[in-house]
Amino acid sequence: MQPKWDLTRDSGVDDAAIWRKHKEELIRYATILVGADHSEDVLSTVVERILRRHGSLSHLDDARPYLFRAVLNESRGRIRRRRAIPWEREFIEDHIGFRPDVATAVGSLPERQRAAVYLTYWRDLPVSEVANLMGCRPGTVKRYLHLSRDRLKEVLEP
Amino acid sequence: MSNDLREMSRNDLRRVLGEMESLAPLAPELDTAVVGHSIPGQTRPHPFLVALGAAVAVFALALPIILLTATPTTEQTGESVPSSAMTATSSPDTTPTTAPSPGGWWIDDIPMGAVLTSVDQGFVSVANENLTNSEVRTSEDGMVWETSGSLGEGAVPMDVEWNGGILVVVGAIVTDATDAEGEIEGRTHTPAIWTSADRGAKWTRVELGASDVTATPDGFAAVGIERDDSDPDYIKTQGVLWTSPDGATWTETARSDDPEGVSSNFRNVVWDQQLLILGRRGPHSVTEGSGLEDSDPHDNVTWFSDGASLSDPSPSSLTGHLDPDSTAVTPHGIIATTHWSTPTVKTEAAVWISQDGTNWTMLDIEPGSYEYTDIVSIGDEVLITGYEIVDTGGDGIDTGVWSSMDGATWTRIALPGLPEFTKLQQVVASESAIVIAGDQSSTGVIAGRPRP
Repeated sequence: MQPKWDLTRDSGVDDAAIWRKHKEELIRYATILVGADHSEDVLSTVVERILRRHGSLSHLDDARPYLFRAVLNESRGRIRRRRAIPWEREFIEDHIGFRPDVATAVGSLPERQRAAVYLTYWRDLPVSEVANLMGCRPGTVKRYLHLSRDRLKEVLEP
Repeated sequence: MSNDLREMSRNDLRRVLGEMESLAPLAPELDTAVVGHSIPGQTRPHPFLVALGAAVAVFALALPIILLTATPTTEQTGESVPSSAMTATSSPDTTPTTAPSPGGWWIDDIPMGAVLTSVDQGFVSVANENLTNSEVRTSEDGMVWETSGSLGEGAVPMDVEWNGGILVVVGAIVTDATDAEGEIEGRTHTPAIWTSADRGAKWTRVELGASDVTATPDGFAAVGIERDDSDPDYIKTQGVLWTSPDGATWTETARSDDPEGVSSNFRNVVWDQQLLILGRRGPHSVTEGSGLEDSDPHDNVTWFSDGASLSDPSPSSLTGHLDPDSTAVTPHGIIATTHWSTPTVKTEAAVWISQDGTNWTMLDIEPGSYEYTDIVSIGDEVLITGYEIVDTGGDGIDTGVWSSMDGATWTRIALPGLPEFTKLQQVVASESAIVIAGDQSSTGVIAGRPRP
């Protein structure tokens, strides 16, 4: 089996390229999951952990899904430990001008359902790609979307 | 009505998601952290220093193996050096996670949920991270792993045993159950046992409701629970013992003989000159009007078997619910772990030792609420893995390995460099190495060291 990382490569150059390529989509993804106040911290923790463990982003087999999964896991961990409380009603009312009721409903979805909704309905990614980024089966993504729609329809299609 | 959102609702949702996403910060300092190769408070070394540190680490790691091997081959001393050890660093400010730590442990990645066993020359791991393909890997030293086969799609392993050149995996086949429109309604679990006679390359499968398996002088023994639905007013269960000479052909040897109104659950089985089956027994649940689905009886009991017949149950002084696959025979006695609260929600746990399988003494390992997950006996030394049951919200889960040379006095083994939030689940030992494994938030973690 090939090792997951290889220090014979010049990792510094690859790290910069990987970071420039994915940073924006990752910070936006983290913002959807934990809110704007905590997203930078989530991403910082994820990157720090990867660099500590692997020495470089370029040593990962496939950096993009790994980073997306790490952001989701770190976000869920913070919310479980109540280090981040995303999308409180007051924050939404102050910052979301359009349909704050829908934003509140989206913000109250469990993290994995919220991730599936965001990647599907805003990023327009196919189910197979969403599953890859979330580290689950396509059927599981469909289940998340099904559960999410049931909850969102209460405000979107009362 | 369409299952998807109406077009107008979809547009509203997209606009809201766009507004939420647009609040993302720019976070320019993260660019410095990644591209500038420096994490706050950390300094990454120059690649030359990394390579130098790696060479030192590789030599330090290989030396004990060389000393332990009478006629080391090129393959063992050369190719067995893990490339993962190449992340060793020469700076004390960094956190080397894959090189030998001061305690002599190397640390690496492994698929989440991996179950491990030692085999005649090394280790075998079986894991299914995302309910897709269950990958089987082999390793001579626990560091360098090669994929050898697969259990197939949906196979979820729970335990793996090795005996006489045969691998046996106990687990389940998990499949999504869908409705007429293709929506997932739930999952079906079909208990199964897989067997391989070629170190995991090819597997045969039988559907058997076993929850634990152990090696015996005659092959293997497995225990499980079967539900008796003959009376709809009760949830009645019987414990079942199966034996197999080769892991592929299983025969029901015995089942619990329970009087009217009593259920038995076989949980764990070990071999100690005879089979010891640890489980629970007591009045079974009434279904009608109670809403009860938990059929776990209340009294811990032990059954004994010579592989052909089953004894009457003997009362056991164990308290709590037995942890799955957490019973082991050691030179100091039989050790088992239990937890309290409900069968699935844990608040407290304990480790027990017994000389006869019925009279148990609680061991004083360490204050705190730990879940104990696995036990291995290495000569006189016994190792137990575990982790904090309650996440205190600190900087990480308190996870650990405890060691004892006499079964009475326990010391904690330091594992510097283990990633935070790692929950150790497995400990196994071959003739040359000790390997522990667990799960972190996004990956599995494996650590090991040469045997002293």
